[in-house]
Amino acid sequence: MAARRADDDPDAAFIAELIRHQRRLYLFIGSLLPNPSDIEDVFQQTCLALWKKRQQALLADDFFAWACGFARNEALHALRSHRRSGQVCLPPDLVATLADEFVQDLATEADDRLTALADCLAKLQPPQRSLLKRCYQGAETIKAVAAELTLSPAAVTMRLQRTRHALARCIEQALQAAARPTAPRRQQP
Amino acid sequence: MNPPDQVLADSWPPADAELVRLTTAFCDGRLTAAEGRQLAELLRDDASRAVYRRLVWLHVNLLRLWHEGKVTLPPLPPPPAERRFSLPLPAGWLGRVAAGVLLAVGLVAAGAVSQQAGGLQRLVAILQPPLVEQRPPRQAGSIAEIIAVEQPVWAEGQPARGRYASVMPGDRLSLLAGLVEVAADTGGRIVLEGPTDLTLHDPAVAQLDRGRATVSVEGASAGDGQPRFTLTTPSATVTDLGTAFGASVSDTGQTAVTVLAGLVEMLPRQAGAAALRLTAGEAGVTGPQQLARRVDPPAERFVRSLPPGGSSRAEALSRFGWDQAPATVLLADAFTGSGLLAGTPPGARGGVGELAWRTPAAGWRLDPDTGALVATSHGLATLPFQPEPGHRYQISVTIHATAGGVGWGAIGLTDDADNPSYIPRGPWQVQRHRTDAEANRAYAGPGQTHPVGRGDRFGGEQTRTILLDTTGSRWRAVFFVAGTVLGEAVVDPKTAASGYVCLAAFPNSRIEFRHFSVAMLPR
Repeated sequence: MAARRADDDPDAAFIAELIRHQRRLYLFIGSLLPNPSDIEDVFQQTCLALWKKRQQALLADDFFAWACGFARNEALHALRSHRRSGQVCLPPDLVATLADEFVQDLATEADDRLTALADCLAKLQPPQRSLLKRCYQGAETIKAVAAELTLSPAAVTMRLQRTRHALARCIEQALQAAARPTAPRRQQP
Repeated sequence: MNPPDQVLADSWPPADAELVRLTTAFCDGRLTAAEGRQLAELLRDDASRAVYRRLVWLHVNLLRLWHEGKVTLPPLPPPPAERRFSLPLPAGWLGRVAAGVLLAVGLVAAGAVSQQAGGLQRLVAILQPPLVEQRPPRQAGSIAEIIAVEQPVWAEGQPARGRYASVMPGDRLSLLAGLVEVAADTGGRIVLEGPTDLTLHDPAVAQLDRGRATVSVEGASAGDGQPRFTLTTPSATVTDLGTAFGASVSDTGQTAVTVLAGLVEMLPRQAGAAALRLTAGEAGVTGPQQLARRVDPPAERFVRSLPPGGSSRAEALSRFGWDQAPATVLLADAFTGSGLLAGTPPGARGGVGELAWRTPAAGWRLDPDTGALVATSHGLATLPFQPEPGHRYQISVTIHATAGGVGWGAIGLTDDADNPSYIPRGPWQVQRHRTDAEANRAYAGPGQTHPVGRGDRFGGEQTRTILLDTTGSRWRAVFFVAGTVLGEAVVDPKTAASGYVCLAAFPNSRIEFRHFSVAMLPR
């Protein structure tokens, strides 16, 4: 955290740090609990916990890693609650392992993956984008989307899977192409 | 493995196919317990976890972009062609966000702006263009089409018909819940209110086996004696000689008809029974072994039509019979006066209610300057309130969430006054400060599960209302704001009737509440 800002206004400095890292924090939580309402709930609880302990943030070397510790605890807490209510969950020790790995992934996440996602979304056909939008906007279930599109839920699920796969494959291809060494340009006379 | 998952799995290396299938099912919430154990076993392998992480990264990014962050940026400057790959941010916007944003759901969205990389900005821009609804062509030989739907739930085995779906002769429309409006080729309109089973034999002939339906015939006038539409039921044949009527068929086969406009003839199936002619405002009933007789019109009104976007507030209120009888005010608080809210009953300041508000959170005060309850810390304020079966309740408050800071206020029902969480557990709806950052939402509950409708972006000061209908075997909640129906949901009586009506706040600086009330229709 920038020392000068922290000295001037520690709360503002904390907010600035939180804003800077919150996208990755959200991704981190979502990686452990992919259900949208779980993500939102745990994210809010995490933000609340971070705010209460914001004084500690001044001492943290790595704000993101510090925040992920709270997010991890909140996620595991939610997980225990889910397990008690009989929901399908990954075992806590596995979630803990994934949490460690996701922290590493996100700490080193490069902009090129996001850029690749942007490029690949742009390449989708409008109906594919429309389907993703409907399914991921949160309010509509597969059944509701199917009703709107006058398709069966299974057909919507199939189209959604195809679209996501096309995206995933496109991203990997883009990243591989970017990583390939380019041939040296011929010198112009 | 079901076919959709197979499609995705087949395209990955065979070794990863099952992992991909299970991961995507997990992301979509479709994983069974056995599959969960199988996925956990696969994820013991380092390489499998790498695949898992890639897929989940994509899933969560898509979720965030659309559900949380996609529509969160300030308005983009025209022209659209330039918008797509360039997103100039207004000067000082980020600074204002940093100063104002804290601990709110909208934080996710606001933070998207802070990503300076072009990738995310481009993502958001790409998603901006509106998607044009495509109208599919009518099926050859069809006799009607669905012209509007409102949260339809079709019975098992039924095609999931949506707007513009064609209806063929003999098609049975079995609706478990929601509303569907059908336009027949002869000009007749039929609104089905789930649960209902109706078969359309002909553009002017339908068979109602169960449930409620409203028939209107465009351009018809009462009194010419010409049949416009015929509805058969297990106990009667109802002929529309005029313009509009509502019919309902009970599980025992009893038929009730209410004439909304014009003239209707009701002919019992019982041999030798006389037909009953009903005019506007009259109602009649008959059963499998009964003669037809006149009765008082039922309190619950029929829905005559649906606008394409859903029903209007007036229509929905009318459906509840809300406009027919004066309400009994159970609780009311204008939040006049000053001092802490906690420990004070609404009756102490001229309102209705003798039990005191509880506010576990500090910082909820009555502000004499603004005449509002002002929340400056997160939490719930609760009043004991126990909805009972057999009633219709209106729960309402005006929320001003723009009075500085970022956050939201909400109204709803909950089951624990001492819960330190600020999330109600029963049905509830939210008014946010930054509706450009994220839509206001309504939830059937518990908590943030079961969102209702698409959300809304009504900003400023808004009156948010929940109508709770406990008259049926399943309790329903209808959510309103600004004269608009946000949606309707079945709610769980365990959380909806669990003891408290609550105001919730998640403020950065302050949320204001005014004109709180809970009212009930007489039985």
